[in-house]
Amino acid sequence: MSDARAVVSGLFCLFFAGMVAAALGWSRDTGLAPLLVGGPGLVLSLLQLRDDIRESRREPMRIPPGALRLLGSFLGFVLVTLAIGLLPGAFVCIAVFLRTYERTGYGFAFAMAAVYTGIAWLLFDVVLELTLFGGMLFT
Amino acid sequence: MLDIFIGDLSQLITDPAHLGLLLFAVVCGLFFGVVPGLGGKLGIVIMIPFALSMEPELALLFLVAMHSVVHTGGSVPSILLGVPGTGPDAATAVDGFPLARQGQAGRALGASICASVVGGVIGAVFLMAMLPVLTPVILAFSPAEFFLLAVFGIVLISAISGDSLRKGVIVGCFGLCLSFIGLSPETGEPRYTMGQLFLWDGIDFVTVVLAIFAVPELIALGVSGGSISREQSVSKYSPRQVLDGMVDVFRHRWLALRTSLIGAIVGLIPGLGGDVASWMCYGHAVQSSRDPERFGKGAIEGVIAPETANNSKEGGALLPTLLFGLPGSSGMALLLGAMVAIGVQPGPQILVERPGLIWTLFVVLVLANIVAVILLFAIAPRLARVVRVPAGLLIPVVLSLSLLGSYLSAMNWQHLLLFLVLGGFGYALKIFEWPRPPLVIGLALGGIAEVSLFQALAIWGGAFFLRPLSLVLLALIGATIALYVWRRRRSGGASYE
Repeated sequence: MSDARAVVSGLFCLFFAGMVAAALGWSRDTGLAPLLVGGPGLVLSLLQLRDDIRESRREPMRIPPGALRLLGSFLGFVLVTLAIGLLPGAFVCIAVFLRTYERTGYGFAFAMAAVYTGIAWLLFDVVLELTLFGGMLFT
Repeated sequence: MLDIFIGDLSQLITDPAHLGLLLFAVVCGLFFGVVPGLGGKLGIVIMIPFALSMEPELALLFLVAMHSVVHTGGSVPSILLGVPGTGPDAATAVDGFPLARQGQAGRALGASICASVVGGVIGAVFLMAMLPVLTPVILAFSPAEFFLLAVFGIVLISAISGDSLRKGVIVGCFGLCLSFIGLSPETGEPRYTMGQLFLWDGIDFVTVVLAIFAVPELIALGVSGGSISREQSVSKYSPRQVLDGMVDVFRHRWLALRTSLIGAIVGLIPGLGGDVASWMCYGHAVQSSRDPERFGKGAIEGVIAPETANNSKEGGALLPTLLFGLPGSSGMALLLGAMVAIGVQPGPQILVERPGLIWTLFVVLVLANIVAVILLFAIAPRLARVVRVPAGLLIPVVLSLSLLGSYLSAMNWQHLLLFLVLGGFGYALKIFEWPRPPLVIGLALGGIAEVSLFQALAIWGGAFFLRPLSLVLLALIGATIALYVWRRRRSGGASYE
């Protein structure tokens, strides 16, 4: 697709169509509110999709370069966190991000990551005694 | 009446233990506000064991003081990082963050701090004066009005999304649909859970707010590079700039007064919550401005309006919580639980059993807000330096804090994935110029809207729209749409995204 603008309205169309289709199979009381909201939402999204497709022929809008790569790195961040836990995940990701994005030295990257992780550990784990996610590899 | 007020005030100021506790509560409240994802609700939960070790009155004093300044602290990450500390602070980020990017972080912080104390004090004083008058009004609101208030909130936010009312309504409907995920409040049947147990409790509100507002800003920051502020002059973050922001509040004193009153009244209405107050006041600031197109690009009124509302609504929400056992917001619902836990039974009998307590709490509200402003004023210029931190460090740190906030709020790992998906979607909304606030308001109001609709239908049938108060709200909804159309025709529309 030459223009990414219609993607959002297209996603909304799919979302509302799915909501309405599911609600049609439920009892009246369960499905009433989703139908009342999803129905108009679907109609408005279809109208918006039509306008977006028309508009995209005149003035295309594209995703800024680098945004998808950054979102990909966020996905990596979340996956690492899921694997090894919130605090170790934060340590790895801060160090890697500082090295690759900011191009700092190894020493600085690891020092900053250690400082952040240490403060977060003291605050959340020791002082507030909150149970933080420990990661799937260790739990 | 006045002698009770003066007596409570002097006792709080002269007793070192009371004053120390108040100071500690304010520091805790600011902390829970500043760290994205923690917020007042989690603050109360974490501090309940601590409060249990105190006398009931002191424990209540502590919890109320802490909860009343959470949003004062929450404005700091909203302005400096574009990451709302708590849900209601999202409205502050809309104009506060652009101001920070223009090198006016100190000014935005000053305005936010001053607006917070003005809102907090006006809200408390107004409610002390209006208590006998407003009590029958609170009781007059029925499920029909709650449902229409929710519709009004979404229409108002959609209307001020400027670029397109249709886009605003679509995003609002999306937020409402997200609120339907989980067990149906009417039948108890699971809806849109896709067989996932963690979705039975619904989608976590904090996760959505953090994802929709934090991730897009982080990606935008990463794409543009550098630091949050594009302005390089260090002198921009002087105490003078903070002072300028404070003066801005007095320059817009009538707006601050109006939004304080709106916030207090919205806070008074049980179940509406803080998000409605801040967005409603933001909407009022846009609608009452002569240059609405400045909003979303760094209008100082866009900081003042939600901040006054955020703090004034705490005074309002306290009344139904204490007097009727009806929480005015989700935070107040937790406070209600904490009150029961520490041995203070809410209800009308509180006026008989503990006659001085209401006045003590109002004094606490006023004092906590003043102490918070002094503390924040002292450290605001240092806080403003956060915007100088390079993106390469800021992005992973804020992302990590957001993930922490999401996990602590939802307490399941699946929400971390949801955070990422919604964050990506939020970024798409941002770059393709779709308004994001209607999503938050839709999600916040969806639950109460659905329950109220069913209750209204059960009591009055389809004719619930014909109640006098309902007709007033319908007229307000119609007027909002008409005003939007008129404004669009006149100036081409306002945008705050």
